[in-house]
Amino acid sequence: MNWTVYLQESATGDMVSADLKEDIDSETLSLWESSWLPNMRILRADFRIETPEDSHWNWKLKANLWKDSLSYQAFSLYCEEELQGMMLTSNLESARLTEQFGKPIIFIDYVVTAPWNRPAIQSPPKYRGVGRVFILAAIQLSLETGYKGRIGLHSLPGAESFYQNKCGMTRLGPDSSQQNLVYYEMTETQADMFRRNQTRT
Amino acid sequence: MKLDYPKEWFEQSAAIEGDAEISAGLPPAYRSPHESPEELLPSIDLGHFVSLWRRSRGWDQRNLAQESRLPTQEIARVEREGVACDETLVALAELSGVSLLRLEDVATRSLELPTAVREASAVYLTGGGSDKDLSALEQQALDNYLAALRA
Repeated sequence: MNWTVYLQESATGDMVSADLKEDIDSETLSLWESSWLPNMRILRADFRIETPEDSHWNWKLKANLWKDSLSYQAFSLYCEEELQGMMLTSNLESARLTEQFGKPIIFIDYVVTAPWNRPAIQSPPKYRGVGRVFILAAIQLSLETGYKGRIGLHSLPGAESFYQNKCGMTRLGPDSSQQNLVYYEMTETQADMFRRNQTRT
Repeated sequence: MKLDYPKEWFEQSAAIEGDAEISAGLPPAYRSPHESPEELLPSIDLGHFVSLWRRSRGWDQRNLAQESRLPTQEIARVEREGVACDETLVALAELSGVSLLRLEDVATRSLELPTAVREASAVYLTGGGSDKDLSALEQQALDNYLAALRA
């Protein structure tokens, strides 16, 4: 299924339509391999730029390992025929926050945007809004699964302020089982605020 | 899933997001058995292995299907997609003389191979058509690879 969403073109400020697909198919992986991967290889070899924290992720492998599992849902985002982002979610985790402890959540295993949408690599980035489109999709999936908008994830260090300040999620601190990545969770109320764009900035 | 929000929602949302980094997932230092930066370099997968081992025997896919008692379509699928169910892996392991455990390693790309063998395996990826005979270089590389698998 495809959904029309919008991203902001940084150079002009214009909103451009994009397609959110509920899948990461072979076409998506080919685009990842042909357009993202060469960038990542160059960035890993360039000492002047900090290596992207997710540059080691092999999406071809991830998609092939999980594509047949009913517990996983993959998403890809296209704009102007370019791959702008990917997300992989699962419904195998439960909430850790006291107020919703033990209740099922949609867990975001991985979410990432294209190299050209990252301010650390390209300033200004080509498109803005990819991250919140994916969070919105995860919330929507949570709602439709009956999880009332509850989601959780482990943020890479550079993205912590996004999840805390731009998405309004609760920071639960470093998770020693995940090499001390900080775990964030969203409650039903926070999801409702997010959907009304009332998250604090 | 239904995602039906107006354009204005996304405009406000992009303004909130600004130029933020968004990546989430496993730690940067994390190395699962299935993944490492080196795996982004050319490396043999199950599909390539089956295809090239078959060619080294001078077989086409139908021959391999007969010998392994698997459907020809299954052989074609394994070579094309590089994935196989347990039953197929067992049949291929028995036939190739590679242990099931090692073949599972190939299937999940968790196999630790010496750099020289990994480099040699890249030769496979530049090989000719699916049913051409192996070149001397490819044969040597396959021998090295099989030796590593059987070690």
